Amino acid sequence: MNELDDERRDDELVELWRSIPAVIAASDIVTATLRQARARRQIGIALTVFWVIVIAMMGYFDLRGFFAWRGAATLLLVVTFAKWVYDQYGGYQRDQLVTNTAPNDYLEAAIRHARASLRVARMTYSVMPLGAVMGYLVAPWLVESNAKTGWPWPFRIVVISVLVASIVGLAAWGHREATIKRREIAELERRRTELEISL
Amino acid sequence: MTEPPRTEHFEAIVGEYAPMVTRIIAAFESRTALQRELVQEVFVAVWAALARFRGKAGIKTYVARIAHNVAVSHVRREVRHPIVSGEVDLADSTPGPAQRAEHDAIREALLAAVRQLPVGLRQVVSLHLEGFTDSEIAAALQISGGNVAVRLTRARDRLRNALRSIA
Repeated sequence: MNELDDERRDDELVELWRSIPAVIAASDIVTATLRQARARRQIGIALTVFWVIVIAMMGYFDLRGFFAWRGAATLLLVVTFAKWVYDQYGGYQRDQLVTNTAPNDYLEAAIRHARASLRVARMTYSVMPLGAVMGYLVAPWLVESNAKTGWPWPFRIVVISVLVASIVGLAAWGHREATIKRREIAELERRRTELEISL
Repeated sequence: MTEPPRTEHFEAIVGEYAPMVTRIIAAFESRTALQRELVQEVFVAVWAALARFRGKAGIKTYVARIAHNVAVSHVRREVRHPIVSGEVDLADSTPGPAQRAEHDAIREALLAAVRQLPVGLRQVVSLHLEGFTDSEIAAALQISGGNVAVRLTRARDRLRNALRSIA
């Protein structure tokens, strides 16, 4: 008798559950998904073209003897490009992760990913400003003494102001991002604990 | 550049499983705007995965797993936009017959009770209410059948206790 009651109650719950209204129309989901997929592909192409142009320009300046250490800047950019391609592949792997991984393993991966992002965020407000100052101090030794760097002072002031503003902006963004990441990690870890208790 | 067969397949999947995904997401997120975002995110992942889908576990299980993974890890938005007390969206609260209003109230109570469950119990109960068998739940969440049964029993008990108070 109790089992019958349980089953009837279950059926009522199922009926109630299935009456939850849709929040978004199926046609809108399809349109938005295809639009996002197209945009993502276009951004990928645009970024690749951008990188190739930057590397070509750097290579050109390198060949013209702008830098004291021949090939160093181009090599640095090529390595950065390779890292970017690798990250893109990492993004592809994350895409696969969401489809193939059990939720508790996915949470683990999300925590690892959030920790990596936290490290990057910390870099932007600690290592990066320090690197900029070091770069400014070391730059005279990197550029050939006979290279044409005779930029007019007003232009230099504009460039330096933009660079300083960018670094300050990035450091502020990094600090905010790091705070959010720490909260994210705490929340993800709380959920992982909940899942582990259930297992 | 689009692949018509993939697009058609995707449209069919969205048509069939969007309500299920909406309900799974609703078990984790009470705000309608975020529900929409998450449902969209699930189907973006489904679209990206379609080319690799080999049909080992069945598309329904596949979509359910993606929905759960997205739902369980969406803390980024939660942390950026913390929920404010009383900000829970009540679905369709337009005035109607008393019976309809009562039905809506009970449904909201059910959803609230599901959201109160620990994540592990919430996962199994949302799939159970979707009509998944224990073995399908085990496949979607990649846990053992025994674990599904244990979690389901605990979840049912908690849900009944929660709903008894409003019955």
